Formats: sequence, structure tokens, C-alpha cells
Amino acid sequence: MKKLMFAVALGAAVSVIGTSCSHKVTRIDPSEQVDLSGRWNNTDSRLVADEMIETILREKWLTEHQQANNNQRPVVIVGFVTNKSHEHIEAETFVKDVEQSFIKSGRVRLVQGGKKREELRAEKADQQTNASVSSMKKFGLEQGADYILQGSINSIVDSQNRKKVVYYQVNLELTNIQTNEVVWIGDKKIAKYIKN
Amino acid sequence: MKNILPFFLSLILLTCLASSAKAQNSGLAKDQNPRFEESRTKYMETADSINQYHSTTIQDTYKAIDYLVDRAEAREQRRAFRRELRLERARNGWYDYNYYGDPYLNSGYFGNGYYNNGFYNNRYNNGFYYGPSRYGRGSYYPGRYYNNTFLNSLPLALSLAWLLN
Repeated sequence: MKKLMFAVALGAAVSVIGTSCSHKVTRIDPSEQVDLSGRWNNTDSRLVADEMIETILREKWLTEHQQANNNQRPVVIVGFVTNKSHEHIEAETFVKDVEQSFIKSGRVRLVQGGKKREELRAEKADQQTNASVSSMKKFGLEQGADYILQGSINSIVDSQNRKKVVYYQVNLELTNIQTNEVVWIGDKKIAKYIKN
Repeated sequence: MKNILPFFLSLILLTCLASSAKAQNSGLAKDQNPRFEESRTKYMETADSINQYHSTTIQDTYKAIDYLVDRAEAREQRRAFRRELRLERARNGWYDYNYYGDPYLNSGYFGNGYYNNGFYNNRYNNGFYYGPSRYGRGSYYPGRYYNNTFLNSLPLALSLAWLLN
């Protein structure tokens, strides 16, 4: 009887330990390529960011702007990125990398837009009645942007039974706000062959 | 003299208009469209509503033709339908649901009206009794089995008899 009880207890202990060990989480390097489903993932986002950063700061629009404006750095605002692909993709993951490269390089100035700009204006409005006169920030002194960065994500899916080829094309473009002239277009094309 | 006065007055008026127009034009940048104000007025009204989406991703996705995804979705829809069917049975007791005809089941996947007309209704709903249910709402009942207590309790009685023997 004692043996039987011992065997039952041992079995229960083993099953509990086995269950607790089935779930495992490990930290990986964000630059490591891990493809699970074949859908858009962090590797794709990183590839797009790398390509865009590489080209946007190297192309002639930057020098042309500085030559035309007494060596002044261009001011950029980020506009919409339209995801017209078949998957939910957040462009912020790679657009933020591009923005970061602007600031790090020191060659392009960046101004806030969208909800964050609304928040800034709301804070400024709050300061008008709550902050001391010497520290209060004034309305009407924001930096106007010279260029707007917009983008689009498109995809093509070709599938046959368990095989699939997915093609993504990500475009970012920089447009002169005054003249509507597109001064730079960057693109990254990613094709994946998925076999289930 | 009376004839000269209106002439002078209109001359003064024209001079004023010309000078104001000149002043307005002098505010234009080089080569700027003189009708820019029309566009400015239009976009000043919509700027706030458009600009709030700056720095965001507008999701305008489409559904790709994908064999495996379609199959998984069809499976999920079948499961959802069966789950709904079980819930309906739990609520109303078991009766012979016609697969596509029940109005309450048609709220989900089959609620697009595709199966709810013509061929299917004519084929499957014929011979079904439609009337007020015990639970206060309309239901489809097959006439043959409508509320037959004897037939419904027969399997239970047989099972009990087998267990007690």
C-alpha cells in the first residue's frame, strides 16, 4: 500500500513539474531573424528601416535644400502611412527608426505632429493660466515644417494549396510642403516564399 | 453742374476700389495665385480633422486569397455555428433545428440572407409548423415530433430500466 501511495505521489509530482516546464520564455536579440508564421514581423520592419535610413540621408534633396536656404537644415514632419496590404502592419516601428536617424545625424530637424502636437498645444494652453509668466511658453512660435514624410505599404499574395509567395512593397516619400514637389522616394521590397 | 457730380463721385469710388485691389495684390508672393484665399478658406476648416492622424498608420487592408487562411476561417465559422446551435438547444430544449431555417441561428455566419431564401427555405421549411413557442417567441417545429412527451421520455425510461435490472 505504501508503495502504491509513493508511486501515485511521484506521478503527481512529475506531472506538475512537467506541466510547469512546458511554458518557456527566452530573450532573443531583436536583430535575430526568427520567422514563425511567414507574416510581417520584426525582421521585415528592421529591413525597411535600415534601407530607408541608408537612402534618405544620402540622397541629394538634403544638400539641395541647404544650398537653397543658406545652409539651413530642413524641417520634417511625419504624415500618414497607409497600409494597403493584406495584413495589419504598424508603420511606426520603422518610421520611428527613420525619425531617430534624423535626430542622430543632426542634419534634419523634426517637428511633432498629430496627437502629440495636440497634446503639446494643450499643455501650452494650460501654461497660459497656470505657469509663471517667465516660464510660460507662447503660442504662435512653433517651427513650421519644410517637408512631410508620407508612406504606403502594399502587398501581393500568390497562393496555391500549401505554397504561398507574399510580396511587400514599402514606400516612403518626402514632399516639399510649399511646392508639393516630391524630393525623395524610398522603397523596400520584400518577397517571402512560404510552404506549409 | 448736376450732371458732373455723379461722374466725379463714381470716379472717386473707382479710384478707391483700384487702390484697395492694388494693396491686396501687393500682399501676394511672386507668382502666387491671386485666388489662393478660396483654397485657404476651404482647408483651414478641415486641417484639424486631417492633421490629428499625422504619424499614424491608416489601416486600409484587403483580404487576400489564401487557401489555408480560408480553410481555417471556414473551420472557425463551423465551430461558431455549432456553438451557437448548442446554446440555442440549451436555452430552448432540443428540437429538430432545420439547419439553415432557424431565424435565431441566422444571426451569425448564415445571417447574410444567402441561405435564408428561395431554395433552402422552400426545401427545408416545408412541413414545419410555425407557431408561438412555450418560451414566448416564434420557432419552427416539425409537426411530427411537436411536444410528444411519450416519445421524448422513452430513451430515458429505457436507460433507467436497463440500469435498475
